[in-house]
Amino acid sequence: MSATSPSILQALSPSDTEDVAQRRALLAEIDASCRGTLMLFFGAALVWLLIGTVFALIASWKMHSPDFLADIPWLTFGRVRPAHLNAVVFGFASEAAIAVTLWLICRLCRAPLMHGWVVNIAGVFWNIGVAIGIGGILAGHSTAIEWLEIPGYATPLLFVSYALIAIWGIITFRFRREKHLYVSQWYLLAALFWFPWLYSAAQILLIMEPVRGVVQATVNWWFAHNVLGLWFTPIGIGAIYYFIPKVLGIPVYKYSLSVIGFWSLALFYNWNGMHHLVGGPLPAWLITVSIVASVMMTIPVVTVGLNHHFTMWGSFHKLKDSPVLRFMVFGGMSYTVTSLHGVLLALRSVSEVTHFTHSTIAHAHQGMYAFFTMVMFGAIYYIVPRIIQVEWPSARLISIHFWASAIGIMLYIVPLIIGGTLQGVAMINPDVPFLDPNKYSVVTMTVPYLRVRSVSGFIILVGHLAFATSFIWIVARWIKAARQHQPTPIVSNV
Amino acid sequence: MTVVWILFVSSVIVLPAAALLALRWAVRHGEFKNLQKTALSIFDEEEPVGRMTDRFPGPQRSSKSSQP
Amino acid sequence: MNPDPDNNTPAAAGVVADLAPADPREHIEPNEAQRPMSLWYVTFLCLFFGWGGYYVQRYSADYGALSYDENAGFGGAKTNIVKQVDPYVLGKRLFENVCAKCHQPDGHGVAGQYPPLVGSEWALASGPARMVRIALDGLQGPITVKGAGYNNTMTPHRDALNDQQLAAILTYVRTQKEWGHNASAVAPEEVAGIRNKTKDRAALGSWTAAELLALPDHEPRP
Ligand code: HEC
Repeated sequence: MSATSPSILQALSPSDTEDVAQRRALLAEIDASCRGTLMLFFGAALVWLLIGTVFALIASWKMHSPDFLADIPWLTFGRVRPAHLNAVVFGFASEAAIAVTLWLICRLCRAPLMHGWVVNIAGVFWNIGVAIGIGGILAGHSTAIEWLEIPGYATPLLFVSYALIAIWGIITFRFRREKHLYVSQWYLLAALFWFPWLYSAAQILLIMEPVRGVVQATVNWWFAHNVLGLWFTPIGIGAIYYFIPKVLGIPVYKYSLSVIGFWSLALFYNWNGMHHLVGGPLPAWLITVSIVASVMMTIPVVTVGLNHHFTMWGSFHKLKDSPVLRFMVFGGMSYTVTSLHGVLLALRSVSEVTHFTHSTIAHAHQGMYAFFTMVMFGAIYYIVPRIIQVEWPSARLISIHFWASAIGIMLYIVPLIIGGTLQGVAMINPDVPFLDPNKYSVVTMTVPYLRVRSVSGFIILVGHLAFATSFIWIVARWIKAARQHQPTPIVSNV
Repeated sequence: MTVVWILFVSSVIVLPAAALLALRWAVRHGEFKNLQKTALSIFDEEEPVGRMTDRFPGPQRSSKSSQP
Repeated sequence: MNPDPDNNTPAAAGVVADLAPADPREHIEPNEAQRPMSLWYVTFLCLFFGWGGYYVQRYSADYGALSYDENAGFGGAKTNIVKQVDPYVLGKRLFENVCAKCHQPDGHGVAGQYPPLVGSEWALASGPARMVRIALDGLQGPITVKGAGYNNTMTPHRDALNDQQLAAILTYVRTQKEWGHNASAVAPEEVAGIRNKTKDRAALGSWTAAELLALPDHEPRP
């Protein structure tokens, strides 16, 4: 179908023409208001994604070949790994999350982004902050606190620009024209509130006025786990709640479930972090409460999962046609799987085996990549053609991206969970030595799994390169079209 | 130390209070009524129910699509 | 479409009907009012809340700030059970993490660089006085082990390992069954005694073999 939508609609219902034209004008206004800002964020996110992937590969390679680049202090494992984490978390994921959030808020409020230049400035400063931070980490200035490695001289930049962005999101919300709050908005606005609370609390308690002893570990795990659960997760779920129904053209299966899903997440997630300290010197009740809250997460997870699944029910054949749907459904299913897996990992008997092994790493990537990153990819594929009015240049590149990412991440997760669990079994067995090249030992038994991980990393890199090519290509087309003052008509929403 | 106290108070009192206020606002505002309508609020005449809004770019790949 | 009488949203009106796809399943528009919350779902919620309440109460050790054992405190047992660690097992683990870097996991050392511990007269001396000193403050200079000469430096572990840990490592080395060792175990108190007596040693540098040979095998009782 390559005809443009206006003609069809006008032909079908001439009486609605004016209203539809108005609606379209508003949509166009909203999309135009976000254009520059979103492209800035998406472009920067893409750059960080590539940088982060390269750091990831270096770090992964070092795990099984420790001599690799070992004589360059800037690229030792202790620096490359946090550089990878911060590049993908604060560079890629957070920027993509912010952009998607802003667009969704504008769309759902039916209000344009006002004075987008403020957010642009915030975006520039955010990127400078992340760049200084990662440079600092590579130079050896890391704070050595997981998920907060960015040295103190870069954090104020991040904080100020984040504050600007969040305030802008909320201002847009204040000027909304749509009376009803769609469920995605609950998630997105909550995330905008939760993140600064988490980040500032952790900064204060761990870096400015550091607490001592086990409390430090407690706060650190509280923060690290909640960044996933109260910043990325709500944005990911909020996006799925919008995109799956929107792409399918089918309203969400049962809206009341989504309300329960949101409020139970808000109630339970914040308590979860302490299950990482099972066996640690923490008062027993603290860990117990955390385990119970983790298990209670089954409620929002199952609720959200069922809701998405039943919305998709009967439409699975459409995955063939829609790239956005593919990424979203992959992300949504990963969310269910990763969360239920997380519930298992929180149990004392399981945690005693799996914790401090590679299986925790696999679990984190299942959440951050298989769920969140895939959702962000899907959202980017949906949003970009709409805001710049240019179609994605190549269906094949999108396919390559999807399959490389999907296969790559599965090849990452599954072997590493198995390997990590076996590693845990070996670690609690006093007869298995820690390191012995000639025997089955804790260190040597993990090597094959770590090799597979490096291979999966290359597959994922292929996907990211395909994505980058698409993106650069579409931007090139956009610039060309802008020069000619003649936007290529978008055909996808016919 | 004061900053830790501020944090403690804000986490234990202000955040739950904010959540409760949000809930109260939502109830009073009728956010939990007529949920069906809310579920439909993402659609409009421009992008109505029953129409897919995304597909692979380029020529039609499959004939078994949901297009008119 | 499946026109619902009280569904007056614009989407349900004419436009969509004409554009709607052929697949009938897509026509079903869920209507909240017709579907009350399913009994299964309510049961599911109740089960989780019930289990959560039980688990918190059962494994919180009376919510004591100093109760680390989740099994304590329920059904009358108020004491924390302190688990006894087998020094041999602890020693094995620590040995592999700390000493095996140089003396190798099999304890045979590296010819010319790191002396062996297996069958070493230093490790198997009738008392641990010298070995504790070596492990605490390190060793440097020429030494003869099992007839072979070495001249290298061993790092101190005074700040890295506590009395219990050092005692466990030395006990492990002295009683390693596979190495055929059968010397006496080392008690944490012995390590503590020597640690205290030699607390100024760190400033003077590591021990030399000659210094140690001048000392008795057994630490004289004060
Ligand atoms: C940094 C490498 C290194 C580490 C770690 C190390 N040693 Fe040594 N050790 C040496 C060297 C080198 C010598 C010989 C020193 C010399 O030449 O004077 C030695 C000598 C000894 C000796 C006396 C000679 C012999 O072979 O019996 C004992 C006993 C000993 N080490 C025990 C230990 C124990 C127990 C540990 C773990 C707590 C340990 N070492 C850790 C390097 C190390």
